[in-house]
Amino acid sequence: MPVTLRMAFRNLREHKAKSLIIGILLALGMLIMVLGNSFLDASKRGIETSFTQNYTGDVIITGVADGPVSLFGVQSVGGMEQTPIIPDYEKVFAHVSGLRGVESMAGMASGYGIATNEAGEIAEDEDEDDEERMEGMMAALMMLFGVDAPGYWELFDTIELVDGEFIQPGRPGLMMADDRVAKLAEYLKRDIRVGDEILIQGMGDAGIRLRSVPLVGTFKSVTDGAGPEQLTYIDIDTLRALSGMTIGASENIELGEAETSLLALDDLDALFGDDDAFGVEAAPGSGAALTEAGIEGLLGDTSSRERLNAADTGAWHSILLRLDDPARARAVAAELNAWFAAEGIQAQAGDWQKAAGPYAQSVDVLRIVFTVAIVILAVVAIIIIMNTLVVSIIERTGEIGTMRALGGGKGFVRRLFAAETVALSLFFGLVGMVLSFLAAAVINAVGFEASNEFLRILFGGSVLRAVIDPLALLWSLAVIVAVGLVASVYPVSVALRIQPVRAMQS
Amino acid sequence: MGIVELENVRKIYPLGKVQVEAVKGVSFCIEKGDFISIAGPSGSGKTTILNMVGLVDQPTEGEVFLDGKPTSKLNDAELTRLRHETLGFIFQSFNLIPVLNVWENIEFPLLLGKTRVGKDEKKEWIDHLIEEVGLSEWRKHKPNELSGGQRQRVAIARALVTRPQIVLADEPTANLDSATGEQILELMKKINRELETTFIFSTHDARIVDIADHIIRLRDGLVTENRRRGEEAPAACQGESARA
Repeated sequence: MPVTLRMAFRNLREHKAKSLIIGILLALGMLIMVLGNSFLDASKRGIETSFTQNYTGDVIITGVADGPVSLFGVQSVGGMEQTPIIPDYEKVFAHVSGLRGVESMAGMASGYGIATNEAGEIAEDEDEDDEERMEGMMAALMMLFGVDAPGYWELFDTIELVDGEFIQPGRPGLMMADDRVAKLAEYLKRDIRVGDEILIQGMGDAGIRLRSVPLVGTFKSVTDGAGPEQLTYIDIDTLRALSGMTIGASENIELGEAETSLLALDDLDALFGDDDAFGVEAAPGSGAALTEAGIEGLLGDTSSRERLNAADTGAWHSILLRLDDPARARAVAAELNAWFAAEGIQAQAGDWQKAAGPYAQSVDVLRIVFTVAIVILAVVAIIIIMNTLVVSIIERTGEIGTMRALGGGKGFVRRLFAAETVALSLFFGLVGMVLSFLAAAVINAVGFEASNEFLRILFGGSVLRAVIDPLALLWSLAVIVAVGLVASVYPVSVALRIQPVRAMQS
Repeated sequence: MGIVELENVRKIYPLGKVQVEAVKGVSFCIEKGDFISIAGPSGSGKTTILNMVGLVDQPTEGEVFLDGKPTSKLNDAELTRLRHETLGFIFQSFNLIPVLNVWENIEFPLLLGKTRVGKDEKKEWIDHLIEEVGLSEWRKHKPNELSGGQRQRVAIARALVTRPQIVLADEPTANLDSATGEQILELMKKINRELETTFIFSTHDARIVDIADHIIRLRDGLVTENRRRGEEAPAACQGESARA
């Protein structure tokens, strides 16, 4: 064994107090990093499984907006941007269905709504506490998934009917998780069974729209983690109507010359001049002058309004794909994006993280927070280790001076302290590793259960599982050794400044 | 020229805002194989001179020649190499490496330089030195398990292990009782005779002065006496005029 290593090991044993202070810090650092990374990895895997199985599939295609588009709309400042529809839907759908490796696919659109009573008001129950009222309100507040039945049910098979049937193509219908139906019934103060109509108030860019939809089925999730219980499935046409995805919303209105000239007026006073106060001609195409009979004729005919308010059957927010090999998701998305660019189609494809939008980012945010915490911990550890090493070096001034006097170069001193630091870091890193395995075993044995939906998403299941990744272990060990080496930089520079003459003075 | 020569060496230390001149222009020459004592009271500059001869300190002015070569222009790495190849050190406080045992402490200087000695040759030489200093039974013991005299014996063996031309000993008997001190001196004298190693002591121990071949006395940073035993004239190296 090289003399530097031999001396390093013996020095560490000789200076037990110093070694223990530094070692405990390093072992704790290792423990926190390994366990933290294990939870984050489990969480990420859990969220990925949960989302790909229940909501997103492997690849999503959406329209293009200023902000990132996900299943849940557009992430934009103020959150007011309208979710774009996929242009040339038929062409895109046909192209995607011919792609190699696509197992199944379906179109969908999403929106928000709230279940309400006919009068629009919910009677307050004085016996009900705030928590129950809040639960009822949450059941009434609906994340609506307008689905392309039956393709959608082939894509996502993680729900099981409890009562009724799945939403059928071309028929209005609503599906909710059975426990949410019970909460909603409590909130609306009426009994709700399969076949009953539920009044839903759509909340979209086109203003408030009301539609009465029959509850066709209730379901429960068959997955362990966060399932689709929070979603309300609805037939696509009703969703379009509630969200303002109508023909009127997508049609361009052609203005005639008279309207264009009115809009082009610079002097607004001219509009209200004396000459033509009642001289406005009937708009071209209206077919009626502004007489009482003409106005009645205009308002009495609602066919245009009905046509414009009809759902736009070509309007879809997303196409979701399930691949034979989910690992190819990014490659398939890239291939699709290249095709969109070549065809000039304003659409984009992405993996499940794009589809999950802000929900997928929660793990990234957690990881950032965790990394920042680790960096802070590392800085504190570095400072403490540095101080301890400096004190140790000052105590060993005579010894270092002697080595230098006897012919030890600066390189020798540097190697000696590097060996001590690396030996210490590796040893206590391994201790931390063993502690991590023990802690993981205890956590898995105890089995901490997720008490709410958010934790179920975060845990990647109903119980917290610590699965230690060997790569994360190596990475953490490398970080621990790096922390040790960084902490030794200044103390070693202090040691290198010790002159051989100090041997004579000791 | 001798193995060590000092030429008008001055050493000034800053002490707070004051400059202290510890050595005030000293010149002398030491022959190879000498057993030389640099004596003087505390503060006379003897340790400072020993440090400069040992290349662990640099003169403010003047030059230190080692085996005829000037040393003032050498960089840290060159000084380290020269120390390792030419000099051996015996310290007043022994300065053994606490985590190494007797055998390893003696071996230590051999592991520092770039020249590697064969394993068998090294073992044989270290065993011989351990036997010479009378520590055969203690080879596996750590310094804290040894007496002061035993530690100094280890230090002597360590100083000799690289077969240096010069051994510098700073008050080697100061921390030893008189009986042990005498044994140590006898040992060093014996090695001096057998290996022709030059021994340079800084001391105010009268016993060392009594057995030294060459005495240099200092007072207030100046040489007051520089003579060989039994000679009245100032000592000089062969081919050199006497300096005082």
